[in-house]
Amino acid sequence: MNTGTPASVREEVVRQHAEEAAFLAQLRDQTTRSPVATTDTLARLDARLDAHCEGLRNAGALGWEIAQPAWATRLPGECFAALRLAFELREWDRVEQALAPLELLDDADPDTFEQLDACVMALAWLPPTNAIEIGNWWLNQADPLRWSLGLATLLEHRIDPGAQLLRGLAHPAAWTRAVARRGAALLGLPAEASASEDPCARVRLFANLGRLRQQGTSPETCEALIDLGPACPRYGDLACAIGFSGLSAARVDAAIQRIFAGDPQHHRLAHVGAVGVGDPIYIPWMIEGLANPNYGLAASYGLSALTGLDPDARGLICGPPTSDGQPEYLEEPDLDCAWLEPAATQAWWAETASEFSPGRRVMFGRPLPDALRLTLIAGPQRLRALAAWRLGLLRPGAIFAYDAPVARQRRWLTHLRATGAST
Amino acid sequence: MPAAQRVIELLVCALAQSARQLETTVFDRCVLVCSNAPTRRVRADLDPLAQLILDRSGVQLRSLELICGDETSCAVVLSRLRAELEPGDEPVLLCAVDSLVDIHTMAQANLHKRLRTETNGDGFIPGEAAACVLVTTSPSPTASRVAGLGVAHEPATILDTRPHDARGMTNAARAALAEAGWRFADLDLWLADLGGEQYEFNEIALCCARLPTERCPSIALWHPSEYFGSVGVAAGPAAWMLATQASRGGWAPGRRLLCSSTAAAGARSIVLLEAPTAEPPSERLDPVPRWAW
Repeated sequence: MNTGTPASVREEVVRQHAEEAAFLAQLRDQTTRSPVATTDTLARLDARLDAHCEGLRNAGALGWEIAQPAWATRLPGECFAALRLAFELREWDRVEQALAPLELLDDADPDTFEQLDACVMALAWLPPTNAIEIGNWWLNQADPLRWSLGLATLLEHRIDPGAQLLRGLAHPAAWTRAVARRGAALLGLPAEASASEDPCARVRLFANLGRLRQQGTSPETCEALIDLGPACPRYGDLACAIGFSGLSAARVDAAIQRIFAGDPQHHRLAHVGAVGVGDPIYIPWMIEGLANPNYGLAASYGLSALTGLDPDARGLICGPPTSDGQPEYLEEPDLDCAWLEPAATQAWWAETASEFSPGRRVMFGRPLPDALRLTLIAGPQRLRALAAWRLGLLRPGAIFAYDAPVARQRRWLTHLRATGAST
Repeated sequence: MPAAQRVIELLVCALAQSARQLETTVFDRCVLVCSNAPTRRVRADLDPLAQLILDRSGVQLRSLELICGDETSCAVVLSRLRAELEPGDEPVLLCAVDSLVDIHTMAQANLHKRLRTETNGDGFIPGEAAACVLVTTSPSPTASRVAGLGVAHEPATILDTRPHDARGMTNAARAALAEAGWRFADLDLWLADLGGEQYEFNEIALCCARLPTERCPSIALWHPSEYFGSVGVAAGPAAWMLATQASRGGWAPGRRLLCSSTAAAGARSIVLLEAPTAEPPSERLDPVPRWAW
């Protein structure tokens, strides 16, 4: 491929492509965990991201020159754009140039995880056959960074790396251990070595998820997952929801109390977790929570996620609670949600409650477990993640890649639809 | 640099890019369409112009024809080429170039309140472009096929006070649809050279209301000048290229596409394209993981 700069390329346009690609990569990453965004939302972002990456690619050498300094600033979106461009230019030297700044990363720095996660997102964009080839090539390298990325590449594409997984579980770098633990849980592979003493919360979180897949639901493992939620912002919501789903009613109440005894910033996790339980008895409690600025949005999410309520269609939306005219909420992960007006929602529930039976678990308004496959097809991203993992607790196989490029997800989902999940 | 010089620069860039894409440096026949506005037209004699293009882009044009016209001229040239070209004839490179980033054009538009400014939202944003398309009789799986073509005149122009009922656009569309043997309901996408003026949007809406003979779903409307501004004569070929690219990339809503062009003096043209099918992603044959579902 010719990577020279065509004469008609304008630098300011290419710079805009680089900035937009980096911004959209970060936005897309957040959207994969959004409480309201669906695959359609993600597809639109993917299309925009692809277009800007194509712009960078078409700019040839200039595109690379502009993406490269952005990489040095090490914001996750910029890491994604540079590495994806390096792969798309199909020049191994560029890939090596893109990886060079990663050599200097400090394993103890929390930003390291974000930058390496962004690299994995770029690797997820590789066509699967290329990913297998590149992943295996890196796994044959002695260099720890390339080896770790090789492991992450295979696992991101749900390929069993065989004996290399064991090496990853005991790797000195925390990010690599987390990748290996996550991979083992994603694929449902046994990981005998204990991780309960591991200093990295993400490693412990995925170790517990893996244990649930291997050994079935155990209250202790579920409670450990809930306790790890606040320590892992990226996977905390998922951990809490799965943790809650495996607990008895008494233990759920105790877990909620434990969360409310902790940092107010994490109180929202109680509502997010209650979605995992799926029992409509929590709906009145969620309605009470709507007025609370700390977790009102999470309660709105919980209500929609449990009942399938469309607040827009029902006219239940109001503004956030304010103090001196200023919104006073803390819960950033739920900002995409609409605030539900407590009194109107109460009235709506009074009319609707008869459609739900206490103890009969639901997700998105449909009874479990049938709702899991339907949610995976058409639900919002946060619920799709929960549905994919809960299906993984019920069945063998790989956890569905709900964060993969949407064109690929849709191709896979046609197989699920073919099995009659949408009927 | 005045617009008349900039159009030459734009043309050189577009021709160099076409040569790269088509992997050739020689074109037997080239028809160049530019604006007939005195300040925007290509003002070089043909032989020196061909030599300049050769020197600047390395592209040799063995035969060059220059046509000065308006936004619909490319469709008219396309219509003529369709009639002229016999199977097996050498392909013809159709180039269009224009720049509305010209002080006289903008002053004139501003005088008639047609230029988008801080105080006038009902106006166009001037842009400039050159676009080249290869017209050939040989079918290709990656090229669009011209399925129908219609040209008509709209008596109620943008500067006219007569009631505007989109008669010109409707007649052009009817002629094109009749030639293609398509119904309005068969169309998947309308690509219009809308520059942002209310008149043009009204015209599309009226045309959509007048055309169908039966109830049909709404049609997607794209207006590429949203991204690169109003580019005058070059808007038509730019829309044809976008249509082809969108279909090949799999992001067009379908393969039956309508491209419309509007000239201020009243000319209207419609080109119906049957775009190529989307290129299959190479990973379609990759194995599907054994998901837990």
